[in-house]
Amino acid sequence: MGLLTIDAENLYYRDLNAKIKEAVRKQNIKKIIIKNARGQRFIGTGLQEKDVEIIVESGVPGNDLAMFMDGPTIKVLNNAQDGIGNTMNNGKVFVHGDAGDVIAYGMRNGKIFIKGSAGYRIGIHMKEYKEMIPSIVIGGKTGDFLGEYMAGGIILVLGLTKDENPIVGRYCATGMHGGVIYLRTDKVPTYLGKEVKVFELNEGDKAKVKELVEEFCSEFKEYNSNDILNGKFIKLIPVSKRPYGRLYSPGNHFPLPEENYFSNKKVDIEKYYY
Amino acid sequence: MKKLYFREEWCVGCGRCEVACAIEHSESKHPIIAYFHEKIRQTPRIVVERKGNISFANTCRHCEEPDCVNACIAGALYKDESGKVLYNPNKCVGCYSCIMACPYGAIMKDINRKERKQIVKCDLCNTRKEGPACAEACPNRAIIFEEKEG
Amino acid sequence: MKFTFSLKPENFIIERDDERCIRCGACVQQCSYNAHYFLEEKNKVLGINHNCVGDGRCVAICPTNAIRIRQAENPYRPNHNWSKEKMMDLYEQAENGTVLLVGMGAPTPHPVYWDKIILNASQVTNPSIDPLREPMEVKTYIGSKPDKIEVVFDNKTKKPDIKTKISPQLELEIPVMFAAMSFGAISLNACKSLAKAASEMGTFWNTGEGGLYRDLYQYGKNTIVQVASGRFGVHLDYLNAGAAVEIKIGQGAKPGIGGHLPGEKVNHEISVTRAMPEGADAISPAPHHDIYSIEDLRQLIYSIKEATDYEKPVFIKISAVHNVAAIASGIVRAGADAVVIDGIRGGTGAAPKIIRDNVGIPIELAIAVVDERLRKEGIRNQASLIAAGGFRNSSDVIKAIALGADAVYIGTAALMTLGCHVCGMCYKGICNWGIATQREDLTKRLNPEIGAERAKNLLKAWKHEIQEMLGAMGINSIESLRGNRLNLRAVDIHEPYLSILGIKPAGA
Repeated sequence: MGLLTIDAENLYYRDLNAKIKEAVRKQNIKKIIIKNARGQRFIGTGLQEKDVEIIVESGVPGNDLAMFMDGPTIKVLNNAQDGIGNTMNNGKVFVHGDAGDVIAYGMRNGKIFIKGSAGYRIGIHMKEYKEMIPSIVIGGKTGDFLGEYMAGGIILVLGLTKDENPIVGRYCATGMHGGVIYLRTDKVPTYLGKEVKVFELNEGDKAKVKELVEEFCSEFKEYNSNDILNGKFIKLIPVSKRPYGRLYSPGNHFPLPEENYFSNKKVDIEKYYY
Repeated sequence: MKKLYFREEWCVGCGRCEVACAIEHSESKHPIIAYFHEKIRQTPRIVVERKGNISFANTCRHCEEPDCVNACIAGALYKDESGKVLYNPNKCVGCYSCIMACPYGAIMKDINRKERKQIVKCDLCNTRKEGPACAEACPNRAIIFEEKEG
Repeated sequence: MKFTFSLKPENFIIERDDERCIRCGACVQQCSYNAHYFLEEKNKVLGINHNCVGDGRCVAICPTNAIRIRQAENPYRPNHNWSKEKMMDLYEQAENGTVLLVGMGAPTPHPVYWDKIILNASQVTNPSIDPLREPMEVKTYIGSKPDKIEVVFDNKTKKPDIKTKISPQLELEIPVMFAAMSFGAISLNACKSLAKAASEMGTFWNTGEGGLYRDLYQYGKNTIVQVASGRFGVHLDYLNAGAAVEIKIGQGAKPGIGGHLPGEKVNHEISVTRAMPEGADAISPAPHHDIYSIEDLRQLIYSIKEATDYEKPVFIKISAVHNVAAIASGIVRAGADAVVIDGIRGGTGAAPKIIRDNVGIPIELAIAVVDERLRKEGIRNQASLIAAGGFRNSSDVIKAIALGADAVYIGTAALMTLGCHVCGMCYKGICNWGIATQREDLTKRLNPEIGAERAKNLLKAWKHEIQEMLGAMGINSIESLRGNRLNLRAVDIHEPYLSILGIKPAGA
C-alpha cells in the first residue's frame, strides 16, 4: 500500500533517517507516519521525491526538519523546533503548533505553514529565481530580525494568537534587498529595517495573500479564511536591489566599451612610408 | 595538408597576427627595420575584422577549388603539390580579377608597391620552418595550424 | 573631458620606447582601464599614467616590446609614518567618504616565515633518495582517520581485510589543491581552467560560494563544493555533485565579515547559478545565522552528512585568528573531516582594505599551533589539516607539511598561472586577463585550453620539486614528513615565535 509507521521512541536520529530513506528510495513507500518523535534531527533531509508525505503524529521532531529537502510534504501534528526548512529547495511543511528560531534560512523554493508563533531570525536570506519563489506563513507572531537579508520569496505573518506581543519583533527586514513581507496588522512595526518601505497591498498582492491563506486554512481547520482575509494587511518591500551600492569606493564596474583607436579606422600605412 | 583555422570565440582583437605577418614577409624580418626603414612596407596578408565585441582574423583559406586560381588570367596564382595556393608576382599583370573572385576577401592590393600593380595573399609562411607566424603570435590560440578532415 | 579636481597621484608610469613603437594600437585596444590612447594628429600612442594599474597586459601584448611600466616614485617628502600609500588612501576617503576596497591578499610587511625556515638534507650515514630512480610517494588522503584499525583474516583465503569502517576520504595525487574562488569573483573560463587542470592532475578545485555552473558538473569527481553563509546555489544536486562539502565560516582576507558581490557583476550565468535576480547585489551575511555555538556547527555538519548519505567528507574553513588552536579543536570535536585554515595572506576578489591588512595571523604560526594542540589533545587523527594563504612555491608547501598540514590550497598562485599579475584591482570587475571579470569581451581572453595547461604545468613542476626535496631529506613518503618539525630549522626567527613554530634555530 505504500504506508509505513515508525515508532521513534529510543530511535537514534541516524537510524530513523536511514529507515525513512530506505522506505522512500528502495521500498516505494509514499506515506510515513512517525509516532513518539523525541527530538530527532534532520527528518526529511536529503529526500527528493515529490509525492511522499511524512506525518509526525506524536512527539516533537528535532532541529533542522526538512533541511535541504527537495520535494516531499511533512506534517507535524505538534510543536516543532529550530531550523525548519533550512536551505530547503522544494516541498511543503505544516506545523500544527509553534516553531523555533531560524526557520527557512536560505530557503529557495517550497512552502512552510506554521499555525502558531515562531521565534527569531525567520526567513533570513530567502532567495527567489524565476518561478522558484519560497513562501512562509506564520499564523501567530514572530520575534526579532524577521526577513533579515531577504533576497526573494514571500513571508506572511497573520498575528492570530491571543497574546500581548507585537506581531513581529524589532529590526524586521533589516538588510532586505528582495522579496516581500505581508503583515496582518495596521500598526507599522517599530525599529523597522531602513532598507524597506511600507505600502498598501495592490490586486496582485491580495491574490497572493488569498492563495496562501486559503492553503493555510485548508490544513489548519480551526481558522476561517474569510475572517482572516477581512483583516488589514500591510506590505514591506525593499527600496533598493542594491542597498549597499554607495558604501564602497567606486570602481569602474562594466564601463561601456568606448570608441577607440580601432573602432572604424584602419592603419593609414601611407603615412609611414619612408 | 595543414591549414590555418580561426576560432572567433578566442580572438581578442589585438592585431599581433597582422604585425607578425608583416614582419615575417619583410626583407630584414626585424620589427623596427621592417616598419620604419625598408623601402617597401609589407602589407599584412591577414586582417583582423572587428565589430563591437566580436573580432576574428581573416585570410586565405587555400580552398580545394580556388576561385582566385580560376579567375587568374595570367597564371600567377596556382595550387602547388602540397595544396597551398601560391602567388608568383612575376607573372602577375595587375588585373585584380582575383580580388574580385575571392569570396572571403582574402586577397588584397599591395598598396605599398608603387611601381606596379600587385596583390598580396597568405602563403602559409611557405619558407618559415616553424610554420605560420600568425599562429605563433596569437596570444589566445584563436589561430591554429593543423590538419583537419573535411 | 572630465575636469574633476583630485589629489591622488599616479601609481605607475608608462614608458614607451618611441623608436620601437610601430603604432599598431594593440595596447590601446587591449587595456580595459583605458591607460593608452592614440593621438592621430601626432601619430603617436600615448599613456595616461593615472589609469594604469600595473597589470602588464600591454607589456605582454606589444609585438615589439616597446612598453615598460615602472612604479611611480613617492612624490611626497619621505615619512616613515605617512607613506605614499597611507596618504593616497586618506585622500580617497576624503574625496568619496567610502570604505576602501581591494583585491588579492595582504601585501603588508609582516615577516614571511617561509623565507626564514630551511630544510634538512641527508648526508653520509642517512643517505638521500633519488626520486628519479626510486619510488617516492606524494599521494595524500584527506579525511578523518580512525583511532585504531582492526584487521581480520578471512578463514579460507587467509587474506587480511580491515574491519573498522573508515570515514570517506579524498585521494590526492599531490598535496596541493586549488582554493575556493567563487564563480562571480572569477570568470567562468577561469573556473573551467582550474576544474580541467585539477581533474587531469588528480587533485581538487573548490567552487567557492558562488555555486556550481551546470557545465562544470562533469568535473564533479574533482570538485569540492562550498556552503557559505549566503547559501548561494546550494541544493541537493549541488551537494551530491561534489566529492566533498566545505562549510565556509571565514576566509583569511576578511575574517569576521561577510562577502559582497556587487550587482554589476551579477550577469545571466551568475544569476542562474546562484538562483538570484540579475543585477541584485549578492550579499553573504557575516555569520551563518544557524550557527551560534559549537553545537550548532556540529548540527550543520551532520545535516550535510545526512543530506549526502554520509558518503562525502565535510570540511570547515576558518580564518587564522587569535585562539585558532582552540577553535580548531572545537571544530574537530564537532565532527568535521578536515579543518581548512586560511591565513592573513589569503586573497579575495573584494574586501575592505582595512580588514584585509589588519585582521588575521600568518598561516605558518596557525598551522604550527593547531597541529600542536590537536596532537596534545590526542585528536589529530580525527581531521585533516589544510592550510591556505599565500603559498608561492613548492618549498612553502613542503614546509607547511613539515609543520603539520596534510595539504595546501593555492589561490593566488593558481590565478597567476592563468595570467594574473596581482595588481589587486579585482573588485573593479574589468580584469585585463579575463580572470576577475564577467565582461564577455574580457573573459574571452582566457582560453581554458591554455589556462588548464598552464595550471597543470605548475602542479607537475611542484610535484617533481616536492619529490626532489623529500628525496634530499632521505624520506620516500610524504606521510613521514607530516608534522616532522625536526626536518626544519630557523634562521633569523626569535622567541617566542621560534617556540610557537616548534622548530630549532639553524646550527642547533
